[in-house]
Amino acid sequence: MEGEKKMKSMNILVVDDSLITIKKMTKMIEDIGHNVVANARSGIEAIKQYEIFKPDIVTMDITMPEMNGIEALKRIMEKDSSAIVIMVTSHGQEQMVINSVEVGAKGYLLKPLKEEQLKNCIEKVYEKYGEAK
Amino acid sequence: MENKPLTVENVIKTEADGKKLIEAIAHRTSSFLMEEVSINTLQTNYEIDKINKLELKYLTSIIVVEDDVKLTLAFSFEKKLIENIFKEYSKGIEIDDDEVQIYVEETAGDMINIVMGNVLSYFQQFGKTILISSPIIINGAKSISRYKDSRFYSIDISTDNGEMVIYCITPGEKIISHLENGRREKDEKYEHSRS
Repeated sequence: MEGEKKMKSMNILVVDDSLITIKKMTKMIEDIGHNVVANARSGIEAIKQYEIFKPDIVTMDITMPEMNGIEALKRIMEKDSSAIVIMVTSHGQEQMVINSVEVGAKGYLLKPLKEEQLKNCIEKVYEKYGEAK
Repeated sequence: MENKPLTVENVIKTEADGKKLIEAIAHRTSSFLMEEVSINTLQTNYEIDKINKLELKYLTSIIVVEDDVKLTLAFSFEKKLIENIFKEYSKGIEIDDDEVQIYVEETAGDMINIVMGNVLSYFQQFGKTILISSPIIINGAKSISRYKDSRFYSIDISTDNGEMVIYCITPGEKIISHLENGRREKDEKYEHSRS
């Protein structure tokens, strides 16, 4: 649309222990014009992938084996304080949101995820925190 | 639903709170089926404590909800229903033929995780987090007998694409009284140390 500023294409790391969620998220992210550079199925794998790919944004599930999403978020923030991590989870508990934000999450999306919500969230967090990266 | 927060402990202690939980799960399951995979719920039947056996269907996803005590939740699907849920849920994504079964199981895991994650907002207590385990999948029809102190709640959901049953398994009142005794002892020790 004329006058509308086109957002640059982001490199995104998708973290979720569910294979089908990774596939669905990847499709949504690609459909809205961004790239999925890697995915991870546990918190430990997410930290490794973050170091390798240095993505612009991470979408992070909370309930995962080995290491949960909040712990992985904490470890990523310790290594890179400018990391932009959006929690994408089914947990509607307020305390879970508070815990995530305290550790450094920049956004929080509730599953089941809708493409429009994801698009708005990516745009908002990158607009707000992207310059620090 | 009342504003008073539910607690996992009260679900086990009182039938009323147990009923609120299963009604919330049934409601969220039906709305998930309708909104995410366009499947209509035709009928929902509740059973409290009259069951001695879990009769598992073709595919079952199980999660454990952990607060002071643990609740086990199982979503058990007829073949036709879970295959139709998968078909709609995976619309637009490419899945190799030899991987379909894995993704059908993943769909069952995603569904219980989303429904229970959403339902747990009813259990909010300030400063407390209730944990949910990753889903476990059981293949094949099996029956599991009831452990003597546990209580089973069940919800039979009939849809225009097949049947499913949801089981909620609580550890029973003995565990609660054990927890309460433990807490009382702690309080008494605390009071004693202050005096």
